[in-house]
Amino acid sequence: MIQLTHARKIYQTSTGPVEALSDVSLKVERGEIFGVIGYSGAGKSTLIRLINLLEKPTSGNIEVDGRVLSDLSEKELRGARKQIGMIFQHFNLLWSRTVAENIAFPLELSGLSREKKRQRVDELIRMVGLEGRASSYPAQLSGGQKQRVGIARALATNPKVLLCDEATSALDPKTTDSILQLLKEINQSLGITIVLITHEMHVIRKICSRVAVLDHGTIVEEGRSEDVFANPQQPITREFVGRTVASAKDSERVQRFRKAFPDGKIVRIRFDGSTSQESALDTLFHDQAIHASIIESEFSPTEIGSKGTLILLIDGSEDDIHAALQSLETKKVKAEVLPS
Amino acid sequence: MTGIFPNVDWSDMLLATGQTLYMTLISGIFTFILGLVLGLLLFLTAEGGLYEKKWVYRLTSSFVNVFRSIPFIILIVLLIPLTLLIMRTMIGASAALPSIIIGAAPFYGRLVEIGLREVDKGVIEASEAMGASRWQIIYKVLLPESWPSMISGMTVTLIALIGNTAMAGVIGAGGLGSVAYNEGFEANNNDVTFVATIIILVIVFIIQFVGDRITRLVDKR
Repeated sequence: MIQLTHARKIYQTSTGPVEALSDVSLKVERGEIFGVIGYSGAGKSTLIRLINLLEKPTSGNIEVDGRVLSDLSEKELRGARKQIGMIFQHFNLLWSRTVAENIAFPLELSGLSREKKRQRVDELIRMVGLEGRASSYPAQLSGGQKQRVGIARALATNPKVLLCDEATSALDPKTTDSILQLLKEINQSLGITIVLITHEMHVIRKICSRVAVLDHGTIVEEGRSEDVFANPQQPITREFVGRTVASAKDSERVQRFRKAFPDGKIVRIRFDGSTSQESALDTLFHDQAIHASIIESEFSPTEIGSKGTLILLIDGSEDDIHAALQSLETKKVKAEVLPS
Repeated sequence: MTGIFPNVDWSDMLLATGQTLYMTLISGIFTFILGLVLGLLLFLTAEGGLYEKKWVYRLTSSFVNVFRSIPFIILIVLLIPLTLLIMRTMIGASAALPSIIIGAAPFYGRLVEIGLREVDKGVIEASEAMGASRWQIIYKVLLPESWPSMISGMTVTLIALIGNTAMAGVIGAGGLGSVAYNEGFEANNNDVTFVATIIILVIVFIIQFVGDRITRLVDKR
């Protein structure tokens, strides 16, 4: 659906040329949600703007739906852009227009009849869940609602591609999730191809089937999201993955232990910082017929003890394990058997 | 009334008020149109503008700067040949119009340019992404989005322009300025000057009030 071949972008600035993108090639398949992640300044904004030629590549080819965009005349390009919707971090709505008028904007550009326009706008307002807000002005809406208007506007002309430029970066986590959910629904119900750029791994995890990691103007890693998460190759990817999914990685290790020792119980022990680790562990192992191996431990000292979590694989009879955990209670330490 | 303002000829005053309003209205309309054109020209041809053209920008910008800096009283004199060419006379309210317009339009043009610059770049980008042509961006995005600044700018311009009609009045255009100076000051009738000034103030207040109202009405930010 989208193919960038050796795309390169150099900006001429007063202090000399700056290379925003150096030799980027990527392919986005029809109907998938493709994410590009990178720090600010990595070239994400430039990359997504190449796809609708808001930025012209210094060299290289941009192909969308079988058409090479840089070969098109200005008029043809405007036509092609109507097939590529775009939403933005700061929504970029016209504040002088109501919700309905904002959504109608792209339809006006195409010169749709008044009746058809009204119908289509109603349809879109329902699709993004903004019933009853048609005659509100953007200034009266919350961030999430504004982005819904942005999405409705971007979809008005039935585009084949939707570009999302940090579309959730200005929203709180809960609203982010609801917008991501909406994007996923749109992708599934309309079969629209979505390309998004973000600096949040969470966004990629939540909806992207494939991901490319952009660093200093080059794609350093690319693949199915799960694979990249499970096995990040580049240091920068590990940074993105590590920061957001530490707990998920733990549970993965726990799974592996569980597979290897199906008879053992996996126990999580939480120290709230008011007990010393040694005395609690002494109690746990004292006079109990159990064996334990440490799967994970993460501790930091406090003034009177240590605070953290210990995950153990404990071998032994049900009763013994139960008794051992009971004895821990006396030390005000919380222990729980993780469900398998 | 005749007791407090013994020297005021009220029918004269009414006529003069009419002349001032006439000059303000007609020159206001032309200033608005011309200023809009100048402002758009400045905005569109500036560096990074939709129709970037350095020499057009420099030319327009110098024109605007020159005519904004010339004191109005000198501008009237300088524009005598042009006025004679267009109006075929140097006397009366209509004869003042060309100078008033040429004095005010560049000023308003700058205000329009500033208003257009305040339009969110992101909105322009979004319109481009939706396949809008440059002309569509101008009349569907730039103008409507900068409407409040255009109107508040026009309010400021109109008030400055009333000052200029008064000045033009002194050298033969009629109106309240002429009454205040010729029949008031020169004839030592202070009450006439006073009344003419009050009427000018009232006009200014009304314009400011109406301008503020409309600005607030169209401003949905």
